[in-house]
Amino acid sequence: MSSTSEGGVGRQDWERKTTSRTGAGVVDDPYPRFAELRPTNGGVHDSSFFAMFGMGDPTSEAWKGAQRFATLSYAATEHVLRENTIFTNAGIRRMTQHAFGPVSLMGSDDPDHRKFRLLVQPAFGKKALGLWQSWVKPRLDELIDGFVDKGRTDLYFEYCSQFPVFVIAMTLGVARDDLDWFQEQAGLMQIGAAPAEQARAARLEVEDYMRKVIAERRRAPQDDLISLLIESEITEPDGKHKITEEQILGLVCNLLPAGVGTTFRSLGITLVTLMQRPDLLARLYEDRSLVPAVVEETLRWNGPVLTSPFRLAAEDTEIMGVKIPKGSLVEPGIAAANRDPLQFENPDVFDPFRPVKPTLAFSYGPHFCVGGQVARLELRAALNALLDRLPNLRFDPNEPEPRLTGLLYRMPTAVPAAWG
Amino acid sequence: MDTLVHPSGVRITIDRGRCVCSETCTSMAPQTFETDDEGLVRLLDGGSDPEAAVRNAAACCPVQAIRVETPGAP
Repeated sequence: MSSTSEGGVGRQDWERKTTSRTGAGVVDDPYPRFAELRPTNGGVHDSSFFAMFGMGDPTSEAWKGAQRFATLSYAATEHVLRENTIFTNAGIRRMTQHAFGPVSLMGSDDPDHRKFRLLVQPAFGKKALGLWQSWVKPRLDELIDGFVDKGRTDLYFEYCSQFPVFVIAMTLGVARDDLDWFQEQAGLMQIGAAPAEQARAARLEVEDYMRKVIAERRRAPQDDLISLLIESEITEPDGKHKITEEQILGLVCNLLPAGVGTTFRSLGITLVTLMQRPDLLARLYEDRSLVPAVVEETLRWNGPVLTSPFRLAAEDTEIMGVKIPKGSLVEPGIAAANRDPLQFENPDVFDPFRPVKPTLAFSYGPHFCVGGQVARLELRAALNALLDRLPNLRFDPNEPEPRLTGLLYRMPTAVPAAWG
Repeated sequence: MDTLVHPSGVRITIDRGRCVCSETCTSMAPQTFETDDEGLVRLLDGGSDPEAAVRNAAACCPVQAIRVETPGAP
């Protein structure tokens, strides 16, 4: 199928290359194993998720020899994410430094983290959502225009993967011609996706690029996120503080991998899930008010990310009575928690009509996903745009039926679709 | 406004200093909570959400930024 440049590496190859290290094609359905292990020790398991499936852990390079735990129950996972002064993000800081840089939201702890977060949160607040929205809808229509007359395409690579990176790039002031390059760098910066040196090189290139954009926006502000961020400031007892250039770069390098992979994979999972359930899909065409519930239930039932990055135990502590020595790394297993039968009735059933209840899909505690509102907006808009323009959406009978796969990152193998 | 007395008599207090804009409260009790331009929670003055919905929103807040108190309770 499509390759972004003659003889070069297409976007499908990039996606496969960066996700094969994290379990794509190796683990298709991790949930039965979670169900089996969850009842033991309150759902606190004494290994990493990768070890649980007999795989090497690409995220452990920076912390060789550290004792590992992973949570599988809702209660244990919520506990770890809430008690952020005991289970700190210092572990993530060391693990992600090469990819996110020295200053990152995910790699910092309160009170510094909170100050940083207040500087960037307005970029994801109500006012800014209008700005995000203004990039999303035209891009979705443009993509659909490109394939609507064909009657069939792989929506995963021609649609899902083509808009979150575009939206982020536009809000950050990246030129259209640089989009493919930008997406490639973002892919390499995802946690565990590439060897440290490769991730670092990608980050340095993005930083150089963004420094130029920031300098331009300082001279001539535009209606975009980067201009909004430059103006960002917080008031503290000793006066007002403007965001620093290092903080902007830190946010960009954190935002890119977080926003580029998760949203499109989640949309792909949603589409496969719906096409496997033609009756539900038919109902959705008729009643669009169900779209938000479908999006939320997909995030619970098969979210795009298995676990929040590991937390570092800053002291000897316990989770559900299990002793956790100081210096251990604990993975808060948000996906496993979202299938905990103590929290959700019939957790393995995809049911958008279940009672509304929060999930851990966007994490929990002080590091709750800062882009959650943008992700929801994008997922709803992308699903609605397809339903608006592609009637009778179904699996392409000429292509093999896709399956969901992956461990750290979850995704469909493809979304071969036909319509009309 | 960081405090509101709900029609049922309970007092709702929010801590914007903790809010992470998860939209949990705004989806569970949309008449009582909203998020503003800053991406932080704000109380709406009306509030026809049932008391149970407000209590539920407080219980589910990922950063415990909402307190619901019954007047006269210790």
